[in-house]
Amino acid sequence: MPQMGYDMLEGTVVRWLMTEGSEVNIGDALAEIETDKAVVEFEASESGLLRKILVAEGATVPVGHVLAIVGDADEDISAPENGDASPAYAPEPAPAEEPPEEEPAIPLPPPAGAAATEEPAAGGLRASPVARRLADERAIDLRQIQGTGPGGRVTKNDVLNFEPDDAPAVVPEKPAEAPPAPVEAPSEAAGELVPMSRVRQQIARVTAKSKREAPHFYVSAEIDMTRAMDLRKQINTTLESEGVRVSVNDMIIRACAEALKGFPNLNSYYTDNGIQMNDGINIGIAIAGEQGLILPAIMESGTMSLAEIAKASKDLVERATKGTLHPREYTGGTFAVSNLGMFDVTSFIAIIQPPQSAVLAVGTVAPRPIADGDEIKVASMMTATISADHRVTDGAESAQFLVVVKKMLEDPMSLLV
Amino acid sequence: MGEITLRDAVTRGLTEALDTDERVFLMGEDIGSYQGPYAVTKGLLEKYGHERIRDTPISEGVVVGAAVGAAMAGLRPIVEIMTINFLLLAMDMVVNHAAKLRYMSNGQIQVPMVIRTVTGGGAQLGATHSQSLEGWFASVPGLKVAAPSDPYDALGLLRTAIADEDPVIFAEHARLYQVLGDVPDDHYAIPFGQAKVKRAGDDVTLVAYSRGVHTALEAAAILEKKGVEAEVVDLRTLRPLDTATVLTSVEKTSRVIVVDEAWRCGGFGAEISSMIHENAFDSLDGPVGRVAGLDVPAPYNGTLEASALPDAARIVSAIEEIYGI
Repeated sequence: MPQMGYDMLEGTVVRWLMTEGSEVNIGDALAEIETDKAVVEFEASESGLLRKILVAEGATVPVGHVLAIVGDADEDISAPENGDASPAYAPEPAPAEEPPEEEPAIPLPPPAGAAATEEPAAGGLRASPVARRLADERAIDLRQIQGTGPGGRVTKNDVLNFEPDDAPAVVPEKPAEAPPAPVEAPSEAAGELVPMSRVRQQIARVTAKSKREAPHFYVSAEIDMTRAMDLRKQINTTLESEGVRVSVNDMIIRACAEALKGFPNLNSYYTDNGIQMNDGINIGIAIAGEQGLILPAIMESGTMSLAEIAKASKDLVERATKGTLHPREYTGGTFAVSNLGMFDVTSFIAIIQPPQSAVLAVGTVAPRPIADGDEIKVASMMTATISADHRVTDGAESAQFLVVVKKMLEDPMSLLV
Repeated sequence: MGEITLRDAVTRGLTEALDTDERVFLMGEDIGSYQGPYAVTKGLLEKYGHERIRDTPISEGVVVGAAVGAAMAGLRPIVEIMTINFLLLAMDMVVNHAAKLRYMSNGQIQVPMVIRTVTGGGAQLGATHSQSLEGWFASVPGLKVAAPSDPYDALGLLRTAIADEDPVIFAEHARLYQVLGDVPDDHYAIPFGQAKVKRAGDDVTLVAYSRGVHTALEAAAILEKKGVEAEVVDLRTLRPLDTATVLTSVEKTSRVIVVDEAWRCGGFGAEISSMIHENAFDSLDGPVGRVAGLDVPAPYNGTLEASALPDAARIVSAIEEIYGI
């Protein structure tokens, strides 16, 4: 099971696209894999025969689990498939914090018996015996839980208090004076308990992780979009024949992509060892899907013209709807723009999506009275708020960045350069 | 029903046995004229006479050997060995004879005897008089070992010990004789191999016996202030051992500390710890903790001696260290 997204812990084999014995070439789609966010095709990384399918359709297995064996017709494939150091596929390297340990497979209903290979969690993860048992019984992946026991051991309480819909359990470092209040099951009168979709679970996990680890701060600016709106109208008239339609958001993306070139800290991310700079500028855009929010990125937005960004964002939205985004587009974002302008809201603040360091939240563009010297006039105004990670940047830097974005949007010809 | 000391509870058990069973007699050093080094046999000589209350020479091997013979011949001797430290002198009689005869005679011979003896340290009696050796005897098949923590259990277990057809080591802790407790007037007996939950709690199990139970209860009171509810299990008998009660508690709490005044190395606490690991591994939230006597000959100095024995603070900090609560 390849790692196809930040924080992806497991994936579900939706459908095998090839049968055992089929000839496979590098790049052939072997199966459809459902991740937290979408269904993506799993491509062969080797050529040969699809000798053996090891995970049945419908089964959910952890990242790193061997899905199938591709090899020569006469190759010995009797080696242990899972837990083997050299599995037959080449998963993308997992982030260091998530060693690809073998965890017991968790079959989804209807349970696919074939996939239920029971393997003990390997070393590296410290969990008490009872924590392991309880996690197993509740189909909780222990790696999602932050251990609070001695030496970071995952304890019984860590598992009992863990709620998948509540992101990794946040437990105080030091034991509290009083034990944590028992988690009361919601009474029957409290209403229906709605199971969460994978996307919802992922959002819960990622946003809580971000808010817990990244000290957010916020800087806002009012941007006069009058000239940008005029320019947009002109461009769209000019390019109508080419089928290109530039949105306000495209202009904001373009402005951010250009501005980021002067503020590399906002295009980086924090690690314990240092601030990791990103070579490319890939701006993620928040897309509200049916099941929840996703944040795919326009790859290499920093090298794109406004028209190219417009095309790319349209394509991204379309493919997001179809669920055919490339995994890299999920994970590759280096900065993000979240726009709720269509809802006629003035402003809001967004949560940074790790491993990014900043996100720009923009409200609607609407006519508002503003002071123009001593005069009051009406202009198309928009409020933009940047949320930034204080571990990598400070208020002054973020303010300067925001001012550059503001100037570009207020003098929009710069977007075309 | 009334509150009596553990000492009086034992005396009552002895008196009762002497009254109801003419086969019962007592042997020991200074139990008659001197009325007992711990005053447990006070008044018995006057009441029952030299035939049944026998002062012996200072020769534990002879005393226990004579009792084994008497038991084989149909009497029901109750031997008092002044302290468990002196039982070492009778080791051969206890381990090689009392414990073995039923088995080596294919059940033709029974040895229904009780060895009452005083165990435990903490009274500044020096390295040779302050040991807790009951665990040694508990490792011997053929022996039974009881170690009560309160007057009720002392009487109930003593009745069972005297009625038992096999040799029983009955370990009375020197520092528990003054412990008070309610003892009913009505007859009752406590079967061997039934531990007692002295205090219920969900967060951590403290397994103890004899004086260790009181140490564990002290620790439980401290833990309660921290919001940690300890369950205290009093084993009452080391052999037979009530594993079920211990395991049920551990399965509930997932955390367990074994309290044992004996030396940590090879102590009976190690046996309990191992038993829990073997049977309740998947219920444990961390390794079984042991708070035991330090591996040193008991210091005479009172401060040093106290520091070599388990206390409530050590139990509390062991729970913190091992389980992080």
